[in-house]
Amino acid sequence: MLRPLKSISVEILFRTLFCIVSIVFFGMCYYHHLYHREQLQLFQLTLPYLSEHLTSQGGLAVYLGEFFTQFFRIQFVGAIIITSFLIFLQQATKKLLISISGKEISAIISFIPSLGYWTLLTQQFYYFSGLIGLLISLIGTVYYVKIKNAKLRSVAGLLMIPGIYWLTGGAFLVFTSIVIIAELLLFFKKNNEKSSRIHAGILAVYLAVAVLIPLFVRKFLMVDTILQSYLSQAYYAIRIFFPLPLILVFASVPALVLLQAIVPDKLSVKQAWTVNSLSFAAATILFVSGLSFFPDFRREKEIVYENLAYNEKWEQIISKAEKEQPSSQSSLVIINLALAKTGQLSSKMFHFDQHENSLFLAYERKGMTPFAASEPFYHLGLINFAQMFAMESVESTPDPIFPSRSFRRIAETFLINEQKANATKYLSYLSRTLFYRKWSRTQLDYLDAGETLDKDKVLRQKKELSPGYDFFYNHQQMDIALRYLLITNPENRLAFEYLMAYYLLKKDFDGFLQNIRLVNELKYDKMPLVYQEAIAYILTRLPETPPQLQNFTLDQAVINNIKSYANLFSTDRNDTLKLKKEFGKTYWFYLHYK
Amino acid sequence: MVLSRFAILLSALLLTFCGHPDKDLPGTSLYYPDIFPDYVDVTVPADIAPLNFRVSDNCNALYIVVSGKRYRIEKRYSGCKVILPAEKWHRLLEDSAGDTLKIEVFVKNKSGWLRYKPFNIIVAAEPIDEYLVYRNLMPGFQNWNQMGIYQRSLSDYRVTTLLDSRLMPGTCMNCHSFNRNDPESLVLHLRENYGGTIIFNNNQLEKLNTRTDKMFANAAFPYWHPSGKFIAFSVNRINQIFHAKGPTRATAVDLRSDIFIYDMEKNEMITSPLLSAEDNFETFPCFSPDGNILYFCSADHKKLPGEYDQMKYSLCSISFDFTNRSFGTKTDTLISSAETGKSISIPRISPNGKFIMFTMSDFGCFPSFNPEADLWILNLENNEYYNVDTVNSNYTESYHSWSSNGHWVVFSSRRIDGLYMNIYFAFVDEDGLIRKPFLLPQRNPDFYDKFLFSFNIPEFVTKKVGIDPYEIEKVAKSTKTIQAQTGSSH
Repeated sequence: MLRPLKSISVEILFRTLFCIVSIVFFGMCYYHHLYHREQLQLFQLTLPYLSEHLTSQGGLAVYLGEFFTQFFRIQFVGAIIITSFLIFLQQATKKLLISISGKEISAIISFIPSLGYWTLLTQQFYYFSGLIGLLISLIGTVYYVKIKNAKLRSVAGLLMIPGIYWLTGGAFLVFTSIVIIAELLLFFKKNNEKSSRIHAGILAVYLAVAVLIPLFVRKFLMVDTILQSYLSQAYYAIRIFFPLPLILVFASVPALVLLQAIVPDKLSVKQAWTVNSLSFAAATILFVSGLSFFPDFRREKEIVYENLAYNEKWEQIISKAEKEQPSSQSSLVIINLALAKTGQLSSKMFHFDQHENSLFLAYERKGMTPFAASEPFYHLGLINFAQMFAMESVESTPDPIFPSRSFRRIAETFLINEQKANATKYLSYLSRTLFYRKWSRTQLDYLDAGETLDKDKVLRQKKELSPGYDFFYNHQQMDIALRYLLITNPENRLAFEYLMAYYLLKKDFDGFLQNIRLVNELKYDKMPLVYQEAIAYILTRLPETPPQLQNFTLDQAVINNIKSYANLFSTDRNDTLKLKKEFGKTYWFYLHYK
Repeated sequence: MVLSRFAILLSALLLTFCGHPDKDLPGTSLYYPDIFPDYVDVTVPADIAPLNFRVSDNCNALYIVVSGKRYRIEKRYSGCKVILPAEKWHRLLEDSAGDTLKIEVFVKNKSGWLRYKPFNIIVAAEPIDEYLVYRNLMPGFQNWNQMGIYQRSLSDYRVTTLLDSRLMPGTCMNCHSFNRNDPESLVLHLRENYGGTIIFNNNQLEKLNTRTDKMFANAAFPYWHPSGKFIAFSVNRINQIFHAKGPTRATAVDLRSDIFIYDMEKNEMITSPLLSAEDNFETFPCFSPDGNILYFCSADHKKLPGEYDQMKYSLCSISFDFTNRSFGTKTDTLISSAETGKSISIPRISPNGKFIMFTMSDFGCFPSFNPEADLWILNLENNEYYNVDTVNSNYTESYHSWSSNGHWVVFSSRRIDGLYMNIYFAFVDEDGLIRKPFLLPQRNPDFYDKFLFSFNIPEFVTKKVGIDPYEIEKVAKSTKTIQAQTGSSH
């Protein structure tokens, strides 16, 4: 016989452990993924938005999922929301198992679906709305099994299957499978006094309704794939792939119902201990293997940079990169932007592992690359290019959901370009959200009064930076774009540093020398370190000082350094590690080894 | 005295509590109401969906009177939107075909009721085709995750899906075209995932790989031969260039183009050296209604993409004998770009063969990004061509097509905000004169403020297209693709 007190203790212990691990994981280790999810949706607090969702299958789950996801932008709030709903799922599972079997259950076994869904949520393509859908479905199941009267239960089942299908999408399969199993168990149970049995034919009707209703909807109410007509948009972003892990999580609940049915009514202490131990082992294996294969920590590191850039936290970007060098190109592009925004590109850029194309991202159809790609263009004043990437980012999501981040950037570019009607359209969407409405309503007021660029200093500054001449986007020749920016606004120091960085990364000394004079015109206090290193190298290659460099003097430290580098290079040029250790943060190392 | 005061008081009370304006009260504006969409003095077909609109004033209430030949609609609204009752509207319009509606708008604001100058809507006797097929997509450049081809009933607001990215994610679907507005014949182009050309003809749905060994790319812009036995395609290599400044976000440049004709019976692609010259660009084919002439656009080769703004297309023609698949030995230039200094694209001939409508822009053959692009008409009887001032705006007007009876044209325009393409209709009289266009009506007048998709490639069809989207999906995803062969013309 299970001892209730110990069982309760085990459950509380496991639940506490689960909560701590989940909150720490999502709040600290994986927070940026959650924040990224918030950026990929545009939840509107309007009645039409709600009714639009309720008119498609799975709509309620999607709506509630989006509602909660908007809070993921606040660190730990998303973690608490997710953990809470996982606990609700565990409680619903426990209640369901007890209601159907009439037995006390192993405390840990009820966590299995929650552990499964926890794992799914670490993958970017599984929606939080799916967890809500599953929870609603289980609550429905609990309600169903509590109905004692067979006739009432039959009516409830026939109404609830299509009802839960419409509200939650694919989770209705969980409801249907559990109620069928529950009815079959009831059918075969001897001496049952608690509930009357429904006719076996009704079960066949349940099954038929469950199979046919999505096909009916697909035929007459909407156009969609067979998979999506069963699942809906609430669960998985990539509609052409069969989400096997999701189906396994779905299947875990009816599987537990069956498992619970075969466990004897009365267990000895030793048996109870064995069951609990096995449950704990199973849960741990599930958790550890899920944690090993599902979360993408490499991507988490990339998203950190994207999120920090979105919030213009330049110093944090640099400080993070200094602790651990990022490997992805998009992160490097953001680091260079942060260096440029803090006036450090010309002194510190080679403290990081640069590549030839680490200033701008080319357009590619790979995830949400356009998010990061838009940033340097926006800050440089290349507003049309920033707009181009922002519009591409709307259509880069795997699902047809509008990203709020894209909408904001698009609105900003239309405001800067003084395209009122288009700005109004995108701002109107944002004005119906919780977190963007203050900014967007302010902008709409400015727009109505024709005062946008007067009142908004940031947008005005971008307008002032934007090019006065038309030219074309060409990823292979960004120096042309940067030169045009400088021609329009010779004080655009950001454009100058980008231009010089461009030439240095391309090892184009002609371009570098043609523009070095601007150091004086832009009134630098002293020649930036990286330029001094480049000049020092150039001087070693030329018989005499070129005219462009005659008015510049180098720091003695740089001169001494290049001599040391030259010595080491001449003796140990193949010992890259040694050279990297001594001179890895200099331009010379990049020049020779990248 | 007491009685007149009483009458005034009663009128005032009536105004306040009954909400019906006294139409003889002073407070009449000399101007038309500022409404969106603009339906003032437009010409509409008798079977068009209700023309719901909103008044741009600050208004607490509206009262409208729509008077037709025998019937009228009178309705009060709180707020600024007019939503016309569908049944009464259709009865009114049907009864007023060939006649004129008079619309009176009364606006109530803080100062009381104001009567605007009544405006007219002319109801043409000539019907419009029942359905319109178009594509919706977002105004992006290279990527897409939502796109679809839809058909809209023009007598109400019903929209049904022909094909949609939910069914075929990653597939670009475009260039849908019907043979003389007949929904029983359809050609549709798919790119990227499940790429190919879908043809529906003689109740058969097939997928074709149009690229033969003589072609540098798959066939693109189609035009049916009236016999239904041939389809002319252009074959294009298109690049987009993006501008750093100005409202023109991008320009599409044709790096190479030729014209081929697909023989449906023999499964062969044929061409003429005059339609596939190395140093010339030929594109946008269009057959005459009798099928004996192929119209197209042609430009001399330039150094691209640098000289993209010097690419100017002329309107040309070549004879085509479809009985023996032979082309003429020379091309005729109907309108020369050297003469106009401009570029012509998208020629579309009227069903009676009298007029060609085309787009004229400063350069290029993808005018959707050229704000100066306008619609023009060439009268084939006297060879005069003219700007259709009544339909053009300060923004792009481009893709256009004719209704089956030749009395309506539909075209795309960016006139609302310069970004989103929307659909307009205009009536064409016997002399080729085109009247003021009207926007595709929507149930909610605020629809266009919120809709984030452009409408493009609007094509009339006489009846609902009966093809099941799942059938198109099945054929598109099938591995059974017919490979077109290279044929020779005589």
